[in-house]
This record gives sequence, structure tokens and C-alpha cells, in this order.
Amino acid sequence: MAIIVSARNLAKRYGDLEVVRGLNFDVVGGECFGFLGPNGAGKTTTIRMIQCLSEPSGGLLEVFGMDVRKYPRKIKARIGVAPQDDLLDVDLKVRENLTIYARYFGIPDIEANRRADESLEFLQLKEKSGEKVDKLSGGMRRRLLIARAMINQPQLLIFDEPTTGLDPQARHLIWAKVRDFKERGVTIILTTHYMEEASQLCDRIAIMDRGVFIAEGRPADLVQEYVGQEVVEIRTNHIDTNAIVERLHGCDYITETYADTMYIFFREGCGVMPKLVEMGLSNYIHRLATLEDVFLKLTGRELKE
Amino acid sequence: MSLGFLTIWRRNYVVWLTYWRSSLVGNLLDPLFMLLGMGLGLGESIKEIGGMSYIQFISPGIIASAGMYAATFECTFSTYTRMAPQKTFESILMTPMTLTDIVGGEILWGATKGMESAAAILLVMVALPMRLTPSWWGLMVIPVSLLIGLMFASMAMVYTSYAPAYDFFSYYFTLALTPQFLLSGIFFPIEGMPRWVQWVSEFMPLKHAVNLTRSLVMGHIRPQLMLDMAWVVGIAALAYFVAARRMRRRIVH
Repeated sequence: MAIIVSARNLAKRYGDLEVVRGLNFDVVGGECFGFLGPNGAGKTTTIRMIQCLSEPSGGLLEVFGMDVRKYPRKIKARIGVAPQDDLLDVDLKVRENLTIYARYFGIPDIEANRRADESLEFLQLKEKSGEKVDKLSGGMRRRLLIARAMINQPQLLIFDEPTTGLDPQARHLIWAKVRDFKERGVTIILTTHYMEEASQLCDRIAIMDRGVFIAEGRPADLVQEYVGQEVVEIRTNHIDTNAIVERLHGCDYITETYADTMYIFFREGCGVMPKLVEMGLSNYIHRLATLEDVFLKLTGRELKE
Repeated sequence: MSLGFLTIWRRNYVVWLTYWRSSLVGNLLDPLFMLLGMGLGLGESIKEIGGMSYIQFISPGIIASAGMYAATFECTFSTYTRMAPQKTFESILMTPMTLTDIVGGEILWGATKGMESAAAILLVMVALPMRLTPSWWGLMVIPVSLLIGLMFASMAMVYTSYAPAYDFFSYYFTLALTPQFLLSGIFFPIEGMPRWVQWVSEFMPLKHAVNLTRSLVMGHIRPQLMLDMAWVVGIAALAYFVAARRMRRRIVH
């Protein structure tokens, strides 16, 4: 498999502030790679370096085998980006947003028009072609950003928080489109705050915190490795948590308490559930462990801002 | 050299196609009122300047100053809008377009707006029955106003590269443009002013622009125009390089 993005000791400093501190990773052709992490973890900075919008302060970063410092224009020509901020051109109408953007890539008019129509069709925006951008809903704007990102037929698509602030319908439609791109063999890099989104779309994820990777791997593997299979959440308001800990003595589990909830992570068949049932607890939730548990466990439950 | 600046110019042109009709009225009526009001009103008291009627004297200067204001407005307020709140440049920079393409395209567009204003005024002058366009050389005002526009657009772009907010631009209009508007020999001949005023006036970009437009409109072609032309082209080139450098420092990090 071709290596699309390769980072070695990648670093970014703004003055004394180290935002990215020595990342090593490869993104392989055709996969969807997710960057997860709390705000300020360095995800967007890393993505901006891949886009050649920000120069690395240290280390090596290659995209399509080319150094980002030396070949920014060649790299940009092959990347499509749906940015986090709504960066549509509000002076232009919906379809013009695509045709004009195509020209920035040097795509001739006839081809630009053809691709614009194709993208509008694909993102279900055809009937909005002549509208002004500010007449669109949030979900439509996000779809238009994606339509614009595909106009140069990129081999690498970057989605920076593609569904933040969208309703569930809009979110599911965007997920379906991202999977479509993957089917076509496009390599995808994604950042998100939504663990469900990462589980749904990403083949591999990296969890970032304070500028470094604190975990990397397939979503299911990370869940297994860090939090086991199952979780019980117990509201602690009227319960003596020490009694629970005593009762579970001898079982293989991890526990964590945050705010009004105690989390007990364990593997199936380790005897936790029968003991809890014996205790006659009523106010608890028993569920499968998710990536969100991994994320919170690794990055800490305290607020980041 | 990259021709990417033409692509950026074209983006602005496509946007202009949606509003040019509504701005045309202002482009034609503003100079018309100015010419008739100042030219005929003041012209009652001032009979003649250097063999020209007063309205003949001021109209070429109005072409030059309107070009200055149009190009400056475009490369201050409008460029700033695209750069800062709308983040248009940011999304353009995700493509193979470079910042030099953007700065070049914006300046050429600002100059185009300057030329548009100049052409509109020239049209008004042709239509008025006061022999305001006695010479065919007057047609040369259109391409020359593109150069004048390049000069003022580049200068404005340098200023915009420092701008933290819209308020910042009012200083430029008041401190940089208004003195030029008054001391470039548009409404009264600088030759009659004290020495130091004449000296200051020589360093005003608009003064050279007015020399050019007035000579062309009246058909007074003389070698000194080459010097005025050199000023315009020189300032345009210098300001362009400073602007491109400054903008790169501001936006790419």
C-alpha cells in the first residue's frame, strides 16, 4: 500500500509554545485516518501542516512522497479540504462557489462546469445551484464545502470536524458521503470530537493530547486495550461507593469516578455483573464500552478549557 | 511568472457582474454633479485658467481623483473584507494559488475599478456640451487610468497589510488621500502657491496622475509627461513589492 502522508518527529512551535511535539505516523492509501483529541491538542495544527498552510518547525512531513516545505503547490493540487470554519465564498452563488474554486486549480471552464454539476448532484444540492450561499442551512453549507473539496478530484480528502453543529439527519448524510469517497479509493483524514463518528468512519485513529499521540490504532482494538468490553455507570448520589469497591474485591476491573458517576470497566465473565446484581443496585446503566470511554480515560475527564 | 493573478481578478469580476448595474448610477451621477456643481458654480467667478474654462480645468483632475478613490476603496475596505471577516483568501490558499497571485489579482482588480470610474467620467464629459474632450488623446486616459489605479491600489494594499480593523482605514483616507485631493492641482493651479506647497505637491502621487490626465484630455502632449509616467509606474512597482512581502508575512505562518 502506498504511503500518502508520512510524519517523522513532526513539530510546530509558535514562539515558545509547542503545539505539536514530535509526531510519527503514516497514513496509508485508501484508509480513513482520524485525529481525535480535546480542543488545543494540536489536531488542526497538524492538519494545516499536511495542507501546506503552516510550515513545520521541526521534523519531516511528506505528502504523496513530497516534502511539504518544497512542493506546497503540487501537494495542494491533489488534496481536497472541507475546513472546520465555514469558508465558503459568500460573494458567490452556490454553483459559482464550485466553478470559481475549480479555476484556482487551473481546471478549464468546460470541465469546471461539468464537475460542478456532478458534485452538486452527489451532495444533493442541485436545486440550490443559483441560490446565494447565505440562504443555505448549516447542513447544506457543510455539504457545499464537501462538494467544493472534491472539485479537483483529490487523492487525499481532509475533513476537519465535518459534522460539528449538525442535526442527526445531516450528520448521517455526510457520513454516507464520506464512506462513498472511501469506496472510490480516496484516502481520508478526519478530525472530530464525536467518538461515534470516529468509530463509524475511521479505520485507524490517533488520540492526541498536548501535541503528542497518546494512543493510536483501530477503534475496536483501542476499546479492548484501554477499557475492556463493558461498562457499568453508577450514579453515586445516594450510594456508598466504598461498599461497591469492597464487594468487587478479586474481580478484574478498573474504576473511575467523575462528577456524579462512577464508571466500572471490565471484561465479560469476570464476575462483576453478578456481584452488582446481588447488591441490589437499581440506579445503574450497563452498556458496551465505546471509544468515548477510551477518549475520556486517556485525556482526562476534567474540562480542557 | 504565474498568471494566477488573472484567476483571482476573474473571481472579483464574476462578483462585479452581479452588482455593476446598481453601482453604475452612482458612477455616472457623482461626477456629473461634481462637474456641474463645481465647474459651473465656481466657473462663474473663475473665468479661465491657463486658457481653459474652469470646468475644463477641473474635469481631468476629477477623473484622476475618482480613480484614486475607487482603487483605494477596493484595496482597503473590500480587500480587507475578503481577507479578514470572509476568510476568502484562506480558502483560496488551500488551492495551488499563491499569496502573490492573490495580492497581484486584488491590485489589478482595484486598478480595474479605478479605470471603470475614470471611463464613466470620461463618458459624462463626452456627453456634456462644454468641449470637455477636445482631443482624441483623451482616449488614452482609459489605459493610463489603469496605471494610475495600479499605483493607488498597491499603495492601499500596503496599508491594508497592517490593518487590524475597519476603523484603521479612515486615517488613510483622511491623512493620505484628502491632502492629495486638495494639493494636486485639481481645483486650482499649484503654480500659484507658495514654494513649499509646490515642493510637497511634487511628491504627491495624485499630482502626477492629474498632470497625465489633464494633458491627455487637452491634447497637450509634452516630454514632461514621461516623468509623470515614471512616477506612477515607479510608485506602483515599489508599493506592489512591499505589499506582496507584507501580506506574506501577515497571512502565512
